[in-house]
Amino acid sequence: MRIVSRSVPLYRRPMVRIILTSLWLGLLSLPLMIELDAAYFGLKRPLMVTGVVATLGLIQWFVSQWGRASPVWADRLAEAGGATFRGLIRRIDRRLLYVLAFAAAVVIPLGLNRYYIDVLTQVGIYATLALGLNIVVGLAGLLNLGYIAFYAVGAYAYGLLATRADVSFWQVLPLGGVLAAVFGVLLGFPALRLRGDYLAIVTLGFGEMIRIVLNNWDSLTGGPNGIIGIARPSLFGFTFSHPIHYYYLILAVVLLTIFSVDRLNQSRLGRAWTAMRDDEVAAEAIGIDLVKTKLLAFGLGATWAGLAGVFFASKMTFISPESFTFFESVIVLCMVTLGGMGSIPGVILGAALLLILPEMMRQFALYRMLVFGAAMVGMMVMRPKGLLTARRRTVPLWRKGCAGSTVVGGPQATSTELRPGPSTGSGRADPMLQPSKEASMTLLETRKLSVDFGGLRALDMVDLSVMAGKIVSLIGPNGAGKTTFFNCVTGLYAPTSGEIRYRGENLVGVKPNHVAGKGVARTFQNIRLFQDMTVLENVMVGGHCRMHASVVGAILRPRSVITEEEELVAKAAELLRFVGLQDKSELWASQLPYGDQRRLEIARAMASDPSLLLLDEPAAGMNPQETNALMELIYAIRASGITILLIEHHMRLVMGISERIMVLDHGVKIAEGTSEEIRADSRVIAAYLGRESAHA
Amino acid sequence: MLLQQLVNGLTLGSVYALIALGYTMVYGIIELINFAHGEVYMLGAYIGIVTFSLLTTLHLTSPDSAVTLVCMMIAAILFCGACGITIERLAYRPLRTAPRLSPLISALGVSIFLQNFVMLAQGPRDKGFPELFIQGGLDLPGGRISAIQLFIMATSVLMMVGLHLLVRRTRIGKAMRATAQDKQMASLVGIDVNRVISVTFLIGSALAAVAGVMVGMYYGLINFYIGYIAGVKAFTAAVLGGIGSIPGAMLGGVLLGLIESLGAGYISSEYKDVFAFAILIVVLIFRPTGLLGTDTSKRA
Repeated sequence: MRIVSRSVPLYRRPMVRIILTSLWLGLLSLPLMIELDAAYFGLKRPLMVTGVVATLGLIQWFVSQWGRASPVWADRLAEAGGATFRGLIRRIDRRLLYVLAFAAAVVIPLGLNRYYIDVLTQVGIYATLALGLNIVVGLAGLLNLGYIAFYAVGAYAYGLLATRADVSFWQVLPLGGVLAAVFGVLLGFPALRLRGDYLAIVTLGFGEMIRIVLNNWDSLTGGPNGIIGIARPSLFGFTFSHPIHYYYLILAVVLLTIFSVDRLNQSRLGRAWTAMRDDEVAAEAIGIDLVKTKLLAFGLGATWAGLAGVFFASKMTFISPESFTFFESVIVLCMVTLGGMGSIPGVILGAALLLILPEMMRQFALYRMLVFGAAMVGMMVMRPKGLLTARRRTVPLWRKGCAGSTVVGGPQATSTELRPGPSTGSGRADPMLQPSKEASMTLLETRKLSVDFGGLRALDMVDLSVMAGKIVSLIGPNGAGKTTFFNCVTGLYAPTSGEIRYRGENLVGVKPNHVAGKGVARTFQNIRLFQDMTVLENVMVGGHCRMHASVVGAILRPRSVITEEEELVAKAAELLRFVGLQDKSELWASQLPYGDQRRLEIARAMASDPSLLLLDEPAAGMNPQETNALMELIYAIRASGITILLIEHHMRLVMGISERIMVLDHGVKIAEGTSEEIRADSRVIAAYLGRESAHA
Repeated sequence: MLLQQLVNGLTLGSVYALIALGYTMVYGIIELINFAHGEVYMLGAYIGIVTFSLLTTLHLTSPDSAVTLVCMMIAAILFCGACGITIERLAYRPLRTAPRLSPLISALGVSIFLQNFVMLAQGPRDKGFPELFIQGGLDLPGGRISAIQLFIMATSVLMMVGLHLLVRRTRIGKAMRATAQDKQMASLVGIDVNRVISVTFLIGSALAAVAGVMVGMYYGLINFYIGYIAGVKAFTAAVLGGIGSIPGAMLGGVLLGLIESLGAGYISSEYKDVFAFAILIVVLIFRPTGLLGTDTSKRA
């Protein structure tokens, strides 16, 4: 160790770096200390310099400890701490932990004075806000910098209705939520076509617009003076007046929020959000309606802000635009990010920390926000993913029996659709599985399909038809337009001209999710699995477009929804067994080796019950054994009644399994026929090997 | 009336454009909304005042000489440039591989820190900006262009031309463009990506510093929170023009300035920000990548 540290140049040593950084920051802050006409040039200045430099130096120290030069003790400490904590959690039953937390939340405030109860109530309000924003940011991966506007909508809804129309708190509470949801969806519409950072400014602008309107529409909102004398809630003659009453009320709201957000996250919708966050293209291709899913995220996220707003107005009995500034949006966003995006306990922890810590720093009064800003930077640098990182549960856990049996992936074949996959036997020979009855029907047909990219004609008048129940290959040199063809069929690209018909229905202009809904599924050349999901969930999300659970259904979980989920889990497990991944269902998709990732993508596509499966280079990067297994798998898929169109460069595979082969070159179909015909076709040989060889 | 509003709008717009350039350049290279950029502009204005009071109290230059103004600008540029580089080193570089939201939160943290730092160091009250030698103006039939307005527009144009030449004609400019397109590839052909990023922050901060000093002169008053609103406006301008695009930032800035000043003059000054944002949203609905932005949406 000693030798190593000696070889490090002096200026790179952690201690020296810290000192240098601190000195540099001190130097940098000096010019701003100069204030020649100052009335208050006193002791404060030098103190401040020291304070600032110390704070920043400290941050730099933490960074160097956790980052590049992480010393052994820090790692050990973190590891031991983590292990102990995790061990503790594991030993105590989760439910017991929740009951304890709930009991603490109920009992502890009884022993506190009004001030602390108020702080805890604030924590409750912000926890509700943060959990709502977590739906948008953490689960759906959409940035929202104007979230506080929905809080304002709720607050002003109650403020106005209570002062002008004398409507009761209990009536406005749901109304405020709904109203905020409406605003959320309104904001969602322009946001639909935008991604990432464009969304940031639009949402920021939306938040500002709401605040400016509240500030200037004097006749309605009272302008900067706000609304005063808002009625406190009362119930059966009992009026909420003491802080503790409000505390218990917000506790109930928080519990309701946790319950709903957790159930949403575990539902079909939660999976769709995660999938969309990971990869919008793949999500749309497996049948997720991006428009609906995004709008639901915005609307549902806003609902909680609306509820919190109604509560806030009733507690303060006074509201003004000042409570709804951009800074508030930032604070809520910080709570979500700091606690750990997507994790419910993390978000609540974030809310608690960001409210309680500044309260504890009250004695530093003026320096509070300074330290707050620096701490935000420091926290992010130390733990960029937040304090508690969220991992999706592998399987819906609300029914232990169901979860247990599927994760283990035993041999209990619950589904009758599919028989053992190629790893266990020959699916092809199974008498149960007859090829589709519509065998002679044309499933997919294109006529004069052309696609232009600027001046480049990627597809030129392609006529192609795929008969039901066949295995058809689309081959051609690189850049021939094969993947473009897939993208046209699945709705990712709009063709410049021509027709695409599936079962006689037009597919031109149909959105990718509807194409998937009609029964066309696909895989991607560059594997597009959802990395933040487990293997099993990747398959489950594939079944999205065949499920019906609504938002209300996801939260209330009636019998039908539970059955639907159970069936989906069983189906997914069955599909995993079919492709030979039954032992890996609990792994993360990113942990799978390459060949397995390809097979998982096939299983995911099959979960949408397609009649036509488009496979884009399924054998790319596979070794000979894997390729053989893949051939078996493709036969087995066809045997289960699915027509297959595949793009492939692996000629042994193509020639071995295809009943019909079409060849594209420079966007033009140059040949079509059986493998023997294609092998002998001089134009195909010319396309692959050049003209000389064709004549040879 | 119309002419006056146009002149005011152009003045405001050229300042927005200067700040927007910093947003767009940083975004183009590391895809980060540098929320601290508005604060850098505010620091520039304060350094202008500090330099002025130093120079005049020590009787080094006379308050109304051009030398004073040049010194103020240079001091602000140097200081803000150093700040920009430091911010990137401490708050963004460790987060380069982190999830997208983390550097954004870090940037917001820097912004809060700098605002409060200046509030503590320079006091929370408005500060009067010194009256400099640029006085008078031109009376036109429909309004008046003050000398300061002319100065602001001329300086902005000069800076933008300079930036354009830098990006298009120099080695470092070429390295910046390469890094913006593909960081990894740029580093493979021997470009020191970290250095390019530092230079980008330096240039962006320098432009913001100049904008800060000029706005101080224009309005005569500055405050520790001017950075927030100017930052939001400039960012809006950058997005309007197409974030990542340098000409887009210039166009967006000027357009936003005009929209605001015409909106304030003819419709309502309270709601001028509402117009600005509403127009931004409408533009983005029809052109999701801004006016001059390129479509970088990734498909299968």
